[in-house]
Amino acid sequence: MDERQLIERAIRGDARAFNDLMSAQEKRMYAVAMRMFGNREDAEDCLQDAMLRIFRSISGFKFQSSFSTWVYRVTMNTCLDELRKRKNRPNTSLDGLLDAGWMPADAQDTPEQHALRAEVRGSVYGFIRELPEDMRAAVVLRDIQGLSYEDIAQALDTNVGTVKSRISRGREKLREKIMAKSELFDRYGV
Amino acid sequence: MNCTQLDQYLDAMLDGTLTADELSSVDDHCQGCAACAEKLKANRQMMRVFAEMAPEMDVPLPAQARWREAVRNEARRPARLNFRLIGGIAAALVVALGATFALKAPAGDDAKMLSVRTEQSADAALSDSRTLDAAPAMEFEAADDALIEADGAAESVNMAEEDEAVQEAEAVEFAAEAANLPVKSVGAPMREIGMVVDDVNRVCDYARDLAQEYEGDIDIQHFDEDGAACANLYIDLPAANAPEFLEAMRHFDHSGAPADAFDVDGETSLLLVLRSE
Repeated sequence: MDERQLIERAIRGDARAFNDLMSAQEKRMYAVAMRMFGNREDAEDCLQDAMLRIFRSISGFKFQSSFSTWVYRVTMNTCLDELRKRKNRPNTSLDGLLDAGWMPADAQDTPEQHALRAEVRGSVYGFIRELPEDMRAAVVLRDIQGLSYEDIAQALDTNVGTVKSRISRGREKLREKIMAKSELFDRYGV
Repeated sequence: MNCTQLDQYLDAMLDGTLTADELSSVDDHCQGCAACAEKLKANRQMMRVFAEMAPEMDVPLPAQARWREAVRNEARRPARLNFRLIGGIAAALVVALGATFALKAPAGDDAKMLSVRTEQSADAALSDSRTLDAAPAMEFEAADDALIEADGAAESVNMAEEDEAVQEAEAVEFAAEAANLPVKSVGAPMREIGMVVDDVNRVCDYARDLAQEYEGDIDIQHFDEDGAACANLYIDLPAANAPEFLEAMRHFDHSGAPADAFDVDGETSLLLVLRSE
């Protein structure tokens, strides 16, 4: 069954079709949530909330954008709603940030190199989480999730000019923070 | 290229759109500018980190199980019987019918109270329905119908008294809207600064985000003058943030104005007049 058929069945209330449909989306949704919150617990809660929102509102999907763009939009709105509710302060817990930066060890890495990679990635996640929410959302969708500017504009319900502006300023701030921690990043190398 | 152009080249590098010639000019410039060389290095480090971040992450099995269970439970929820919603709609309809079939048409203050109460009851019913999880669209429509019914019932009461009640409500609503408008600090000195920019829309978007970041209010009015795109940006800022805000905006100005043209002397209410080149 292709994606469109699954969507149409899910719209008619077929929970099994919905689960099959969303199995192909959950990894990207989870990645977005992890990068917005920086810890597993919040990311898993956000994933569940976003799945429920999608289930409740899928009848409103009119095939005017790609399904994955629409899913990104709902996921990001769920993240932003929760962050705004909390008046989020950056979680400076290194453990949480290491969660967000974790990845399986590269076979060529020594344990020290693997630890350095994790620390660098954790730092960058921390920098991302210090960005204002709208800027953070745009940078995550562009530089990590790899969406086009047009898709990001749809996902964030704004225009391409605003997206470019937010991403440009967000990247500028990240560069400043990396320069301020040059000792760590110089060990990481380029 | 020069230092002020570096950021756009670094963005293009991250986007993968930098040409070989442009990369060469970036490297040439950075060989002669230590500050830009640091920025370029940081950009390359950032690119490397981003490249190692996969767009997908495996969802832990317990989390997978939890969201699937939540969706299954949601699918099983009785859309067929929703007692709170039914109760709310019934209450709204009773009020609406009561207003329609009143023995005497209430006048004056009674009419105002009735119209307000009818509206409030229907609003409460609608509000109730919207606070419920997973109310299907048809239930929202039924609640909307109850509100329309209530509106109609209120309007059927003495029209002269109704007009007075509506005017009073509109005045209250207007005051509420006015309270939510960006504060233009009426009576406070407003610092007016003219800027010539390459792209008015882009600079307006930047200013909107920047104002939010600096905890300010902004109101933007676009207009044309002699065929050139222009905009008035009315901005109110906390005093501590105004200098930094203007310093950031100054970078877009191509008018050749000196740096001190963007200094603030305690002003927190700004009018930036943008004009395209």
